Amino acid sequence: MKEVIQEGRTREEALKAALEKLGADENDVFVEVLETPREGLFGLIGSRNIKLRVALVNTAPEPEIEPDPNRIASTLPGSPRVFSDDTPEDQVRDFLEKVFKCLEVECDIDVCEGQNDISVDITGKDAGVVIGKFGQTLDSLQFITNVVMTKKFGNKKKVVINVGDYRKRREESVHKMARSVARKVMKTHKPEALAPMPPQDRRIIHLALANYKNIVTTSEGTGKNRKVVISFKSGSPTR
Amino acid sequence: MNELLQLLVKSIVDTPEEVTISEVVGEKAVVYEIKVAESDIGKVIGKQGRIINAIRTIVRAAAVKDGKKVSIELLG
Repeated sequence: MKEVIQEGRTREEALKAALEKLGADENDVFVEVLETPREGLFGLIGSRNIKLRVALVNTAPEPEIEPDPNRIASTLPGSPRVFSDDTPEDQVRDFLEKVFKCLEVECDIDVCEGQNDISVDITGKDAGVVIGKFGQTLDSLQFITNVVMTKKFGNKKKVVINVGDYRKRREESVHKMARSVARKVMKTHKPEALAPMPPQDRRIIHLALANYKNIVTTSEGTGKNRKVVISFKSGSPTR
Repeated sequence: MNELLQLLVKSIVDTPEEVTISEVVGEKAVVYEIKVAESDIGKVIGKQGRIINAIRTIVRAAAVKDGKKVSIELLG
């Protein structure tokens, strides 16, 4: 695969230069942001360009970053698919039961197949172990379950794992935090960066603050370190 | 713990027969070394290491009870 690493003042500039080097159209490339731009002191000291990795792909254009958990397994060639008579519900329950047995976690697994997804509800006294810090363990478990189901059983529905009302409570607390930080930013006019968090949590913040006139939310950093920055909007937009 | 790792890794690879997991026990930490068929290495790692990192997270959750640090290495 042909690729170039390109720096530039803005994303557009960098991308344009990279496309010229590759002699390609924007639709034929996969773009990954390696470094996000940063404004330096008075625009002079410590400012950093944006750095992109632009790779030529032959297939259909891929969306930028934010990997889809289902895609990884499904695009792997030659994975033998074992179709059995069990329903996807049974397969999900079976797999999770084995995992929890190994984890020595006692809990009930409730699986319910919906139209577009398979929702799993976990209840029990040890459910806290399954959630982990910031729901990390829960997200990992959900991700792995999706990979396994897609690969082994050709299951196309997304598996969503929930522990009690954890996800709902998390949404509420993230929402609350977003509003309180926004209030602070409106007072100080200084941008505030929040702790790195997963895409769904960032999404909650962006949505929660979308109606605030003087507040702009942007996501910075890449991969695991991507975080939301809440800043004050004075006249011109920050981006 | 070994069982859990076996389950997770074997569910992901194409040739589960070739999965071997060895345990190196230290004073404070345990290192698990995973060996898989060469063609399966990518599947265990995943895009940008997402799968191997998810496995690490889950195994760490299991290790909390034992109070030991766990690290997982994939031998190429």
